[in-house]
Amino acid sequence: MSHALTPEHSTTGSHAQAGSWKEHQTLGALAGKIWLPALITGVAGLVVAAGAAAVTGGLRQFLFAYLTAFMYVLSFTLGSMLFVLVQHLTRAGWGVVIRRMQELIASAVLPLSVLFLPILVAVLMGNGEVYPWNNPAFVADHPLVQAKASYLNSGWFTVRAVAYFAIWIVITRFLLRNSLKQDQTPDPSITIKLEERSGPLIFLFALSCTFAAIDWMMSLAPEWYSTIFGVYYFAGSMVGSFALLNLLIILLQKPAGLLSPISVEHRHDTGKLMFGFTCFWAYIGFSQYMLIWYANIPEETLWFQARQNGGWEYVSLVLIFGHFFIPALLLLRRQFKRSKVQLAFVSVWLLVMHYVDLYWLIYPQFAPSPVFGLVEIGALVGLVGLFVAALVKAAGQHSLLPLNDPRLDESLKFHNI
Amino acid sequence: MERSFRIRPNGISSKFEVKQAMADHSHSETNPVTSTPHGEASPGTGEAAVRGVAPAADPKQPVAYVLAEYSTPEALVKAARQVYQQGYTKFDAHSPFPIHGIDDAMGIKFTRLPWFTFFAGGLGIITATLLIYFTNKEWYPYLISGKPLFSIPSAAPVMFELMVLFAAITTLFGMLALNRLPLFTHPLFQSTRFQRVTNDKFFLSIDARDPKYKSEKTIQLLTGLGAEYVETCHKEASAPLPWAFRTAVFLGLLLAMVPVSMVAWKRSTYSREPRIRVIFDMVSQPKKKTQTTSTLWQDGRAMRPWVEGTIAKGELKADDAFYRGLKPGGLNAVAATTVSMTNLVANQDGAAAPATPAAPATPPDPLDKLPWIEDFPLEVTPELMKRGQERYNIYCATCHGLGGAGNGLVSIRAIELAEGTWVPPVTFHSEGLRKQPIGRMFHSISNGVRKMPGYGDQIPERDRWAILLYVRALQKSKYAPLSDVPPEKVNQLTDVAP
Repeated sequence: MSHALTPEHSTTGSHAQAGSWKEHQTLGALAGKIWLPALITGVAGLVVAAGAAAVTGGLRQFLFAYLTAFMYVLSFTLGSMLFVLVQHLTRAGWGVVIRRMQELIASAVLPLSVLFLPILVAVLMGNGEVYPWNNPAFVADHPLVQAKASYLNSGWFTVRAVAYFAIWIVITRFLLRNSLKQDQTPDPSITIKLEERSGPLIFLFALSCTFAAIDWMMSLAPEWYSTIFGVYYFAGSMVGSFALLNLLIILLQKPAGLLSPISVEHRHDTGKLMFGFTCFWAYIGFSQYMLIWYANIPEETLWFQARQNGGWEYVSLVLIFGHFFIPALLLLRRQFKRSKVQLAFVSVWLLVMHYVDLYWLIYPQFAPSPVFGLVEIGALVGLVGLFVAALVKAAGQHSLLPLNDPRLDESLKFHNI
Repeated sequence: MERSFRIRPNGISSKFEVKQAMADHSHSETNPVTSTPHGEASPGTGEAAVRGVAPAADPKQPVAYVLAEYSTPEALVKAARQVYQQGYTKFDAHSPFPIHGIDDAMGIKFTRLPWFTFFAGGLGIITATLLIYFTNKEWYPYLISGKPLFSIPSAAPVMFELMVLFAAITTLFGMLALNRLPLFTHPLFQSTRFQRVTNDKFFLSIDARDPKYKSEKTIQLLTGLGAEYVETCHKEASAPLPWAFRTAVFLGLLLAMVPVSMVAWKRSTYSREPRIRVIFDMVSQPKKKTQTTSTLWQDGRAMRPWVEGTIAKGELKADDAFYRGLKPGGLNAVAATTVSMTNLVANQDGAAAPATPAAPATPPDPLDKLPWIEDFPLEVTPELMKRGQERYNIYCATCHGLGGAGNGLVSIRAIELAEGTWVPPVTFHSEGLRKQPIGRMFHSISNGVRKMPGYGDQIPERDRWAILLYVRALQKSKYAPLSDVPPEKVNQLTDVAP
């Protein structure tokens, strides 16, 4: 991405501007305005969900709704985490201005680790309503699940969950801490250190993300398996995290007047990435489907059987068109990536579709027909509220843009040909 | 800051070198101007004074391009913007590296190429769909494992591939066409100064075919815009392509016709000659294949029967009881009854079929006379029983039913279809079969009975005996007294409708 720069630009122009925007790139008073309402909304949403669940589906429905919403907000942090690592690994110049936003989104994984406790506690207390492998009566009837008992048991499940969060917290702390340190001291060696460590970290990330998806979502149907499942969740996470990033940038730019150095060129590129991962998601989803469809082996088709009957077939069609064809055709147009209104529209659209995707992954295991009511809405609003509160807390009074990155100039002048 | 910070050697240092090179050249620029027929039209206004205007090459030809040289990208961008604002349309900027903002300065509209790509991709999808539809569904319908002849999931990979292929090829050739490439020569190459466009100089060229072009005024405009040097490039006397090149192209086209015409010729004529094989794959091997003829032997067969009196390794199978279910010396009895072990199935086909009600008229089954064994010729163990149950459920239960009542799923389905050719399997719980010698039942599994094919090739002898052991257990289960049930399991019994 490095294009030769004209001397005039690289010396006088940018530094004259640079001083002006670097002063006020923190949330400032906005943080206080958002934090408390978000927290209250979050708690209220969860209370409503719990109350509604007590009337309708009980603890089982609450946990399913909670798990879906949790995987939804978690995916934003995972997608952002990966992309920061990718930026360091590829020594990307263009994306320096968006990197801090993603670092901050990713560091919300720390409070999210606490929010995973309801699921973990339920599993540890022997609740077998969500994960059938935790139900001795179910296991006794299913020889295949018995054979997987050495992996699918509550103790090992807990150890793994702790390990995943530990890995993610270490990654995000490392990335954010060093990035913030560079805001104080313009030291290129920090950049070099981040680049060197990102290789092993991305390896750990890939393993933990894959196994987390397998543990928390695929094991809802413990007899079924798909080796590509982790990649599928990851692909959806990337779409979701870029949609969120685009939306946050646009919201912070227009009403809040922040992030002025992020130009249409950067938004064009994050739009391209969102477009690319939308196609990647469809590619992975289809790869998973076609092999199972083609082999037609009963124990593999079972999972899709549940998603093609009882009303789930309509949700599947919504995904095919709503999560792939419509946004892909829209984002194909250059204008849709460059216009703020249009990019915001597609981002919101994809954020909705990303939830539908996770709902489609998880909920057929809850009921043979789609169930969507106050419990699901409450859990979603609750966790999104808490996530936003966590995000604001993570952002704190840090600058939303890196201030001293050696490639900042390159990023500021980035221009799509 | 960029120069001191070098963690990306490729990007940063090369840029640095270019700058350095530019600096060196601007200091040591001493190229003399050879001739100035247009005179010093106007003094330069840029950083460097205009040294002159010189025609290159053949001045007898009309002017094709006016070429202006600049030493910095900023000067080029500024000049390009001015030229564009003056209303010129046929002009181009030349630079050693991409310059941001030059597109805007030159007023270049966004390329139409994406539309080419988009529609070519769509065409690829349509082509793939039609290709799969017609080959798989219309022209060569070939049913495989009951899968649909045409379905979207199986066509999607081909759609994707052809979309990419069409889009990529169209993008490449569309780009070439839009840029009017390939181009073998260009009038600008007459200028020796223009060679430095690949290194450290920046040029602007105006096409003489531009409606706004007016020889003197255009040159004045360019010199007024800070050009270091302006020269004119002339139309080239239509230089023909080199002789060797033309000949090579001609010969190449001629040779390309050879395979096509040979294919056309072969396809429109008939021949009794063996086909030409360019590559000898495994299609033709120096050996005789099954069911072919040979002149080596008198009977003309390529396949040879076993030499009389010989037995292949592992084929002795001397134990009559274990391998054939017959008492010792039973094979002699088979010879006496003139029933060959190989055509037993044909002999008794239809003999006991329920479709023939005239039971008394059927001749006595020659198999009945053979000395079948009554006891198992191997040790009966619980493991053998378990093995038998497993093998029975795999091989037999589909037709005979899990309980041996002749009500397997295949049989039920066949009766539903009412094709008329189905002979339902018998129940194992009939008086006749319960009393049948075990050796005779072994024979039925090995060689088949009625419509049932022989399973001797698929199930090894030991497994056949295991299956029979399980069948005996099934038979016993239907007639077992209560005393056979272990006392602790008696209370689990429930009445089942017959």
